Amino acid sequence: MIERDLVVLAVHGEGDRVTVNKLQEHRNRLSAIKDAADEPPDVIVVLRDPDQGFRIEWPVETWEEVEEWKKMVGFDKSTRHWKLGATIKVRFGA
Amino acid sequence: MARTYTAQSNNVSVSAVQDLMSIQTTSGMVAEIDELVLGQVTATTIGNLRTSFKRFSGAYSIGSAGTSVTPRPHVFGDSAATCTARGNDTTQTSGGTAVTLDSDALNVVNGYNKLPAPEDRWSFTISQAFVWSLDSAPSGAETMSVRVTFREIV
Repeated sequence: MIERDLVVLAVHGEGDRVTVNKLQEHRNRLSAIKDAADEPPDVIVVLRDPDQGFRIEWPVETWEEVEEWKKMVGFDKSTRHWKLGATIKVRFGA
Repeated sequence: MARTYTAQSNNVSVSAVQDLMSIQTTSGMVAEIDELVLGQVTATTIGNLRTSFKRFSGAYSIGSAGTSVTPRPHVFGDSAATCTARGNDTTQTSGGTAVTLDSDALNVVNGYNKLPAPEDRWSFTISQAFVWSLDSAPSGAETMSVRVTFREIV
């Protein structure tokens, strides 16, 4: 088992499912090609090793996973802003 | 070495004064703004609007009510951006030290494109924000697309 503490350097993408779907609904009204009713998240978490500077990027693929990241990283519900700077423990193991 | 990214808000209904797009350098990156583009598909008559470009530093509060935008790397397989982007924040960025770098006017029928010469591009050091602000509201809701292309200076 390898374990490392990484710092949240950046989080990209809207974390609020309702907002994402509302924006896509507006786009769908303009388009002949209708996309799925529930848009997938477009969120990428960028972690950095504070000692070495190496980065890990984590593309978040489901809304359930987005909710998990909100708990780990921090997410202001009123502004829908991601928080940066949290320390995340990453484990590698077979 | 520099990595290029585009942050885009695609087909969003715009009816109020807002930060069309903002780019934050975060604590680990400096960046340069390469190109700004705005287009819309709703209005068919002249609509002259004021716009401005600002640098925020210090203890500013980034805008809200819009969305967090994922900047796309121009090179396939390139790293995700370190700078973060937001689009269409009707609660505009405030506080800290704000400097208006430039202001301009645009006619929504024509759209807007700003492509400074390489030596004239605005650069931003760590923990700063670039804000492209729409300073007057359109006559009605207009579906706009806005993009900012920027380079991270590694």
